[in-house]
Amino acid sequence: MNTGGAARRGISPGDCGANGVGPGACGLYTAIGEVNLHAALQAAKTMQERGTFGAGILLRGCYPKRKNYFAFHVLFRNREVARELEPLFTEEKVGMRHYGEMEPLVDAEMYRKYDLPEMRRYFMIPPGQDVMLRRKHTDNEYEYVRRVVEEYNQTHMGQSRIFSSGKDVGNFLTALTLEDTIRAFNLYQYESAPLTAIMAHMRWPTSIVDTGVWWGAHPISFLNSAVVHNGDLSSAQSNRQGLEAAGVERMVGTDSEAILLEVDDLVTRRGFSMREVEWVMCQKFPKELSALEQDERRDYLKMVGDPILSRYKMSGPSSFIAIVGDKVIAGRDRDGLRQLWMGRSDDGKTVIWGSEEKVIYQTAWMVEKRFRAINCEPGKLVAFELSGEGKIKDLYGETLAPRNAEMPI
Amino acid sequence: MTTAMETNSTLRLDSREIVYDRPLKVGIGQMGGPYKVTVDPDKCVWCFTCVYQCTHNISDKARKTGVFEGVTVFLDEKKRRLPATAAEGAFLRQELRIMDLDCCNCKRCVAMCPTNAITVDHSPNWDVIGTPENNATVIFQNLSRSEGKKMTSSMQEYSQPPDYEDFHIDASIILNPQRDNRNEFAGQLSHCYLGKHPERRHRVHLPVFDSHMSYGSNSHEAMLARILASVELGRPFFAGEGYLHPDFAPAFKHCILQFGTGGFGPWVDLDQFLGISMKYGQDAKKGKGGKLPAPKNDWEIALIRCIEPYRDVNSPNPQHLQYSIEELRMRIASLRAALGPNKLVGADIYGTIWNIQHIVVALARAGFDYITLRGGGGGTGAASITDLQNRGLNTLYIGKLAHDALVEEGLRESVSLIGEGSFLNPKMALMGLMVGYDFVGTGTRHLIPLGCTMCRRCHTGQCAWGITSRPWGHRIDPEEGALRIVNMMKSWKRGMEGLAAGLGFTTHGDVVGSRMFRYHGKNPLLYEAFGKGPF
Repeated sequence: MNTGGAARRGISPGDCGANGVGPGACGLYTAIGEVNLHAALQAAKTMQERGTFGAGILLRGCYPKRKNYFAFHVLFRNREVARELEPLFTEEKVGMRHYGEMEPLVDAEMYRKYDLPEMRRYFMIPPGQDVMLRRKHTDNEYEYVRRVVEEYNQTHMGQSRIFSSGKDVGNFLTALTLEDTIRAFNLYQYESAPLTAIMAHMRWPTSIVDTGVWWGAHPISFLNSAVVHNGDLSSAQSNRQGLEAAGVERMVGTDSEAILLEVDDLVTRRGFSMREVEWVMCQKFPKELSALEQDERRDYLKMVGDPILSRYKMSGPSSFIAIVGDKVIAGRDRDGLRQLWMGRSDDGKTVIWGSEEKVIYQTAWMVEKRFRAINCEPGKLVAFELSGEGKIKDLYGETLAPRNAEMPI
Repeated sequence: MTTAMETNSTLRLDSREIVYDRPLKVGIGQMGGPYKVTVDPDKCVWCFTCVYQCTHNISDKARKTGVFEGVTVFLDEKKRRLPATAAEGAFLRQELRIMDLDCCNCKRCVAMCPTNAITVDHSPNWDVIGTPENNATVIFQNLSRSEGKKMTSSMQEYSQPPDYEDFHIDASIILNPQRDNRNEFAGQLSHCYLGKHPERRHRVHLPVFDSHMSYGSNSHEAMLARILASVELGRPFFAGEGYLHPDFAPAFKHCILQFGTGGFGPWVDLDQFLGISMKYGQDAKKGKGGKLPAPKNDWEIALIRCIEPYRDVNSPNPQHLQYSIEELRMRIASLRAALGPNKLVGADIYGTIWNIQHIVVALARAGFDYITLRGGGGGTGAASITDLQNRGLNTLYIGKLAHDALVEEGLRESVSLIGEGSFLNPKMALMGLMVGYDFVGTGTRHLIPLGCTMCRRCHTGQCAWGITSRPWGHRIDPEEGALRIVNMMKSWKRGMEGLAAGLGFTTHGDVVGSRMFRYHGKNPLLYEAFGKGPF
C-alpha cells in the first residue's frame, strides 16, 4: 500500500479518531437465543479484514451470579484520573452503592503491552425508592440509573465514561483488533455463563464527534439497551433535532446512538407497535404508499406527519441491530445501501445477523446446525422478543420462522 | 410626424438632431446625473418610443416627459427660429432632447427601443471623481441631499458584497441513490408545512416565500402576477399591511394578511383569508414604521386602506405600541376567538441581536404558528439609505440564535420559522434552511421577472416598468409575469434540491437545522457562529 501522502499528513493505516479515518468498514455480528460464545467470536473474526482496528463485544447474561446488580464498566483516561474519580463509585458518591470485591476487568499484562486507558468494573445497587424520589424525582430504578449514567458521562466527558451499565450485561470495548480485545478482557471466561445474546462490532466508528475519550465506540449501550450500526446517516442532524424536541437526552451524540434512542423512545416510552416503528424510521416510498389500504395510509400519514416523528426518519446508508429491553430489532435503510444478513437455525432457537453472509456459514459450521439465511429486506424491520432464559418469540417482520411450526397442511 | 408633413405640403423637413441638454442649474448642479444616456443617430428611426416609455422626472415634476423629449422647431429660410404657430412655408427641425439628470438606469428605454439605438452607462465624469474615502458615492449622495432630494432610496445600495460568498457548503457525504427514483428523488423540498399544529398547519410545496409587500407599494398588475404565481406554486401569499383589492377575492384563501400599527383596511371578511401576520417590527426601515409616499396613495388605495388620499401614510413607530410580551398569549387567544381555530397566526419581527432569543421564545410560548424573522440585508423602497447602510445583523446569524434558543426551550417543533433578508440565490436560500429556518422569504427577487432592474426609484411612484407605479401598471402582463415568477422559483427549487441531494438529505425536514456548511470569511460574528466546530 502506498501511504506516502497519508503518512506526510500524519495518517497511518492503523490511525483513527483525531488523526484521520482508518481503512475498512464496520462489521456487525449479533446472535440471540441459544448462542455459543466460541462460535460467535470465531465467526466475527472472519470479518477482521474489514474491521481492522477497534472491536466491541456485548454479552447478555454474562454475570449470572450478580444479575441483580448494575454492572458498571468504567473507563478512565489514565491511572491518575482513575485514582481521582474511583471514590465516586466506591464511596457511594454517584448516588448508588458499590457491592462486592474489586476485580480487575482487564488483564494487567495488556496494560504493559498496549497504551490502554484504565478500565474498571463496579457492581452497583440503586438506593431505596424514597431516596431515588428525593434525588432524581423517580421511583423507577432503570430511569434512576439512566440519569446517574447520563450525569456522570456529561460531567466527566473527556476524562471518564461509563460504557456499560446494564443488569447481567457486559460491554467490552477496545481500539485493538478483535483477537486482542478478547485477550484483554479474557472473554472466554464467560463461555460457561448462560448467554442469551452476543453482539459484536468491528472497526472504530468514524463519525465520532471530538468530545471525550472512546466516545461513540460500538456497541453503544446504556443499561440493558444496546445498538450496533453500520453506515452514515445523512439524517443525523435531523434525528438529533427530533430527539431534542422529544426531550430525550443524548449521551454520545452520534447518528448510531440516535437509532438506539429513537427505538427506545418509540418502543419503551411511547409504546408503539413494531409496524409503527417501521413506519416512523423507514418511511415509505410514494409507490409503497399508494399500495397501502386507505385506512392504513391515513394512519401512516398522520403518524409521519407529526413534527417530531417526521424527524425520526432514517435516511442514508445504514444497517443496525438494537436491543431495547427484551426486544431485539434489526433493520436496513430503505434504499438498501448496506447489507444485513440474517440467519435462523432450523430448530428456530438461534437467530444471527451479520454484515456478511459468511459469518452465518461460519457459525453454522461451528455449532453444527442448519441455518436459513437471507439478506434483510430494505426499509423493513424484523423484531424478536428475548426472554431471560434465551427463548425467542417472533414479533414482527420476516423472522424466518421454522417451516414446521407454521406448516398449514 | 411623417403624417403631419404629408398632409401639410408646405412644411419641409430641414434636419433631425439628437440634443443632449444640460440641467438648468448653476455651479456643480450642471454636472447632471450619474448615468449617461446616448442615442446612436445612425440607428434612431425617430419613432419616439423612448419619449413615451420614460417616466422619470423627479427633478422637475412639471415636465410632461421623462429623460427624453421630442421637440419640433420651426425655422424660416435662413434657419432662424419661428414661433410654433407660424407654420406656412416653414422648415421643420425635429429634436430628440435628452436630459439624463433624472436617469436612474432602469433600462426601460433600452429594452423598448426597436433598433437598439440607446445606451445607458455610468457617466465617466461621475466615476472618475473624489478620493478613495470621499468617493463618487459620497459626493453624489451629499449632492442629492444638497438639492433637497429625499434620501429614502429604494432598495439597498451595497457598499460591499454580501458575506454569502464566504460560505462553503459541505459536499462530502456520499450521494444516496434512491431505490424508487422515478417517484422520489433525493433532496425533495416539495413537502413542507407552515405551522406545526396538526389541525392548522398548511401544506406548502416550495420552501421559498414571497415576502410581505403591501397593495399600494406594488401596482395592481404586479400584485396580481405575484398572487397568481404563489397560487400556482402552492404556497401562501403574504399580503402587506394595506389589505387587498376586492378583485383578488377568489385568491383570498391563499393569502395571509398583515396587521401593523397603521391598522389599514376595512378588516372585513377576515375568515376568508388563510391567516394573519402580526407585524411587530419591520426590518426594511430598521425599527421605523412603514411609509407609503403621497404620490402612490391614490383614491383607490385610500379607499381600500380607509385613509385620506394623496398624503404620506405611515405605520407609526414603534410597533411595540401594539404589543407587550406579557399580553401576547391573550392576543393570540382573542385572535383565535375572532378568526376561528383553524387560521394561521404569525408574528413578524425584526431581528435584533441582544434579545432575539427572548423574543422568539416568548412568541413561541404565546402560541404563534410561525415567526418571520427579518435580518439585515433586506430593504424596501421606503427605507432611508442611512438605515440601509447600517443594516442589521446577518439573517443567518439571527436564524441560528433563534433556532438554538427554541431548541433549548423545547419549542422548536411547535412553531415554524421564516427567514427574510437578502436571500439572493438558491444557495443562500438553502443555507437559510440549514441554519434553522423552515422557510425563507425573498421580496425583490420576485419583482425581477416583472422587470425590476434595481433602479431604486420605488418611492417616487414613477417606476417605468409598472411594478411600483400604479399609473403604468398596465405595462405588466399579469399572466406572463406570473409564468416567469413560477419558472424562476421552480429553477430555484431545482438548484436547492441539487445541493440538498449532494448533502444526502431526502426531505425538507432533513435540511432544516442541519448546519452542514462553514464560514471562512472575515466577519468575526459569522466566524464565531459558523466557522468553528464540526460540520
